[in-house]
Amino acid sequence: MKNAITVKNLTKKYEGFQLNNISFEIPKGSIVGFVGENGAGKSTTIKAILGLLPVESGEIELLGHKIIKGDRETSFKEHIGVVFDESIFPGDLRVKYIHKVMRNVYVTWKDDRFCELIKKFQLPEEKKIKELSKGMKMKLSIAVALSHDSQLLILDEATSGLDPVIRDEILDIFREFIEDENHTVFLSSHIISDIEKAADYVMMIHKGELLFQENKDEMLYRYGIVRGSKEQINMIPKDLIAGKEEGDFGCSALVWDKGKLMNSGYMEKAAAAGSNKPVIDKAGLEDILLYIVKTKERK
Amino acid sequence: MRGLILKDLYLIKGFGRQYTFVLIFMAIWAIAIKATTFLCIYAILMGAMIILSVMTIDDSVSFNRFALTMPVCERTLVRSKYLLFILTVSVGAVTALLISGIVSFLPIEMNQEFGWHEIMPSVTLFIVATSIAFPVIWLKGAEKGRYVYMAAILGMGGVVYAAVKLCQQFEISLDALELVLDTLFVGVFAGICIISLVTSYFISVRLVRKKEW
Repeated sequence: MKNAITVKNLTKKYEGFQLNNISFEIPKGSIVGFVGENGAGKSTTIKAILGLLPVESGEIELLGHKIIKGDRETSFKEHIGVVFDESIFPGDLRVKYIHKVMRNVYVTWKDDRFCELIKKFQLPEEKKIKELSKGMKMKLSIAVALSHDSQLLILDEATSGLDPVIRDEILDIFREFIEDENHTVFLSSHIISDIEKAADYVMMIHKGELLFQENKDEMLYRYGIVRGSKEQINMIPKDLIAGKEEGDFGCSALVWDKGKLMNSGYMEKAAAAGSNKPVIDKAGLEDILLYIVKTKERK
Repeated sequence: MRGLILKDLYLIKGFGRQYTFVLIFMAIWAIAIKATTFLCIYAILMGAMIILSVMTIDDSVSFNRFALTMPVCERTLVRSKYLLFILTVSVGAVTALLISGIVSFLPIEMNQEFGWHEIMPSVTLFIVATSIAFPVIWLKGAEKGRYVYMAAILGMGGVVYAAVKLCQQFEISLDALELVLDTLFVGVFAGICIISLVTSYFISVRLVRKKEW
């Protein structure tokens, strides 16, 4: 089994929205960033993966176990840690009670690991959950997710609403977690900078459709933004264009392979067509996603 | 399941002081009006109501959605709440027995004495109302479940009241009920409690399996 998550032809319909025949594979030993705007279908996909939703069609496997809603077999969940975007523990419970509760839920619960993590995160054992800050609540959820035999961490907007310092600390924990090549992190977020820092692969969803799943470093190396006049932009071979924008101060286009564009002789031809040479800039993850989504929206 | 029940017990421990305070207040009031049965029924009602508070708290933080990501299946999740309900009602009943015991040592003559045949109809009312509310809580949330609980109690109370009034109007004597053996009387009500809880449990499991979390 080389994949931590396998999804084939997943379809889930709601009134006014549908997850449309989504298929993807998450390789073991990687951090995969799952991005998309609010309402794109990230949380629905995650809930479907976790068997929290009945779906119209599709096959889902987590760590080689086929997910069926209502399945009584739960032992595979010992190896899955889940963190949602909000605190899921009742506010009146104390941190020390969470420890005692989880010890009785997970067979593979590791007391030492939990104690080590709450010490590292400076979580006061005697405090009630409602007295903790949002960042601390999130750290508690992460500590729980990491204190049993988790091989796969699924995080739904777990870093949203946290300050950059805490977000960075949490991302460090994920990087540490995947040092063992059997461990995988599936991280959904609309904070692109987090994905850019931590992810090995990026997966993008837009209006219930999976747009792409690519290696992040390759993407950042390959994609480029061409800036120039409208005429120069129109000269870019159509098969290289991933997105386009026309503004008052000029035009730009996202090309999915800037190397290929340069090798095609475009720069010389475009320079001859205008008073200035077009410029090719590096594209950040945020640029890539914005160009693609905006172009899709316009279509 | 042990972990889930433990979590609920810790929650109950959190608001236990509040419950004790209310119970002491009600005890003083019940002694003042010399009504032991009233106090006993109140203790059991408190036990029966705890589950609604616990499920409201769970609902407010979507705990059940998280619980299903742990090694817990839908059936276990539902079962843990029914077991907790049975546990808290039992604690309420034991408290009622203790109260009646303590009251009997007081140098006050109470106008009522503890008796299962007097308490069982009320206990049955609470248990049937909770049995009706449980599936609604799972499906629509604890707040709607509370309304259904109140509606069920009012509805059943209304039916009993109407029945008694009709009997009085048509001069049907209810004295025959007093001839029914205590054990049989209590047994019939206990049977109603068991049937309603078991039916409610299976409906809840069915609903939870189909629910979108």
